Amino acid sequence: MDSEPGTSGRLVVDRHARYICTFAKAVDTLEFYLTEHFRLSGVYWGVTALALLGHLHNLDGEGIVKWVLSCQNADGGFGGSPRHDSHILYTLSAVQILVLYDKLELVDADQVASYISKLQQSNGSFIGDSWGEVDTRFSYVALCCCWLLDRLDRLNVRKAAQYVASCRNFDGGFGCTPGNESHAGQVFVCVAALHIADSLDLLDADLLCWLSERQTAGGGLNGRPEKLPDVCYSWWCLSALSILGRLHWIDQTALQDFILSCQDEDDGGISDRPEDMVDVFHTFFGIAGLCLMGHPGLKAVDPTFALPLEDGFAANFLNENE
Amino acid sequence: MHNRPRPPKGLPEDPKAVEAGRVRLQKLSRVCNEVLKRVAEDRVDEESLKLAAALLEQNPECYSVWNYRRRAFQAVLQGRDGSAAAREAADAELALTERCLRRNPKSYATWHHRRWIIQKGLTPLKHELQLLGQLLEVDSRNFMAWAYRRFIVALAGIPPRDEEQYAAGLIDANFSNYSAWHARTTLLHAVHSGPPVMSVSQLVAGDQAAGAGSEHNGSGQPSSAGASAELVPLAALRQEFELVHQACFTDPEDQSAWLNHRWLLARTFAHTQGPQTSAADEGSPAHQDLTEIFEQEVDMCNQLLEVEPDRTKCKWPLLTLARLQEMQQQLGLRAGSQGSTQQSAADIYRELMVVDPKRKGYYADALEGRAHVMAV
Repeated sequence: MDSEPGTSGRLVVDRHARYICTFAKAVDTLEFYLTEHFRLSGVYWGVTALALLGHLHNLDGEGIVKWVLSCQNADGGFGGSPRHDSHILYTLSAVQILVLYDKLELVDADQVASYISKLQQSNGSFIGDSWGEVDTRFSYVALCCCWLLDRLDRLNVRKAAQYVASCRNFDGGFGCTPGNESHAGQVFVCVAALHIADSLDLLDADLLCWLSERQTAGGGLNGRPEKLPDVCYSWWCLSALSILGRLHWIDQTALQDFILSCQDEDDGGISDRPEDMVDVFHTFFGIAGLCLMGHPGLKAVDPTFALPLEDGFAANFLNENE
Repeated sequence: MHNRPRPPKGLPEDPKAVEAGRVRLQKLSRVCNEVLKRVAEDRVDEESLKLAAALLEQNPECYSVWNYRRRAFQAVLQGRDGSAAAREAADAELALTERCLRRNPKSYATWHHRRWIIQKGLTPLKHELQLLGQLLEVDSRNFMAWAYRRFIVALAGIPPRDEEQYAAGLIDANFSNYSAWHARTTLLHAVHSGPPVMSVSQLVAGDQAAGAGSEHNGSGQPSSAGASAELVPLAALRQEFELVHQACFTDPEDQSAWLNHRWLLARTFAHTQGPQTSAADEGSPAHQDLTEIFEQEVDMCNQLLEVEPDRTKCKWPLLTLARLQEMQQQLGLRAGSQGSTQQSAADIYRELMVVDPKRKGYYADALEGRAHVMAV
């Protein structure tokens, strides 16, 4: 397939590594302040992307781990950065980063698991923090985090799975809460959650051909019908299909070409769609999507836990325990 | 992070833009640092709350600041100033979230804060529906708005029929409104069977309202997969088929209509499963109904194929025909007068691998009988 004019059709690994490292060091920018509340997730995207590119050594791992730990609060949870309240989302990002650096022993697993288990509701759902927002994203985060901490037994896994199943829609997809529209991001978290809960029988894998309908004419994937393609769906849709053993239901060549066309080949980084501004979020998801498809030169990635499956502690950990 | 164009390369920096950026950064960092400092101190005087509001209007996902505003609100609730002060405080929070939503209607934290305030029960719900109507008019696919709508509808006790009509109106205006089609799949059962069962504690708790009918099941079977898996009477399904036909004929390539159509077929098929065995008996009225419905749908697909010479534009009627065949076969229904000239499901899947090549992996599995879609 011919590459788009202005793009080479190859992955500029070194440029992406440099982009991520530069971004990690920039502290006095508008972006820095606007993203402070979810910086911990940003760090997870950045370090995991570097690990998948084989460039994790380019960052100061010790400094990063120290910073991650400084985001922990008295209740055992982690905030998006040191000035922020605990939230289930950032608690997972923290644990994922620690697994990546083989520093999980630096947190008290019981304390973190206890923070998460208190967020489970009587109907099996999870709230994001003590203020009560419910979303199936939090179900995945809770199960994922407790699994990584080897504390899954602190949750009512069966009820968690049943709640996720109650969010199933007419099209086989899942929404954020019961009755809400299917969205590829929610489909990923629900499929992954059911996988961790060993309850994939609660969904209809065949009906998730809905995910293959996310592929648009240009090869990119969208998140729901009538929406524009976006590189982050290269992860959300692909990982779900991968867990279900149906990665072949999309045209992988066309998708790879789409992701590659979203690169900034001069300055590095990947954007949501061609010629848009790059950011670490899309850089991570684009690379992770390419990893799932076995793109040469990249490490394998685990579709459920979104961590590398080759080299390093994360890989050993996942391979031994899954 | 989305929809921002990449700046062109090689152009010299515009000094005015650089200066404007520097000023903006200075302002933002000052406000951010000041607000977060006061949040840490839990300073809830008027000036601090005003600063916090200004920050949230610029950066509504800054969740710790919403947490701080909730703590301030709780203090008013528990204070000695009485219910008037509480109502005033609630109105102020709602006004702030409304300003934030009009600027950024896709902020989880803002929607959650509004919901949290409403759950205190201090404010009427009428304005919520008005606000939702306006926001959904601007973007009828905003799933956060829809989720909030479901919460308000359950809280206000609005009958499923009203919501079904609202969704029908949206579809009438635009057949590609997938969110509206989706909404109807969660409502149809309740519209035709009975009121949803919703406990007050479910409404008031942080748990968002389940779709109508998820606990109430006409067939007596437990529903683990939500309202769209409930039985819908055949008469109602016939009406739905009529509606979806209009959409399919208006734009045969619109997946919203066809994905809904698949569900209607599955709901029809469901009448042959479970305790209602009469439909499975040949000669029974229900069996006649089903045979008729399936033949009618085969007819529709064939009509569309007849008028469209470009087979790459026929993916949906072709796929639907294949699935209809599989269903008819499974039920032992006669294929009708087209039987002998009809392409077999296998032939259709082979053709689909050519005319819709992106999904050929799926069609290959379907060919091997590894991709059934009529369960739900």
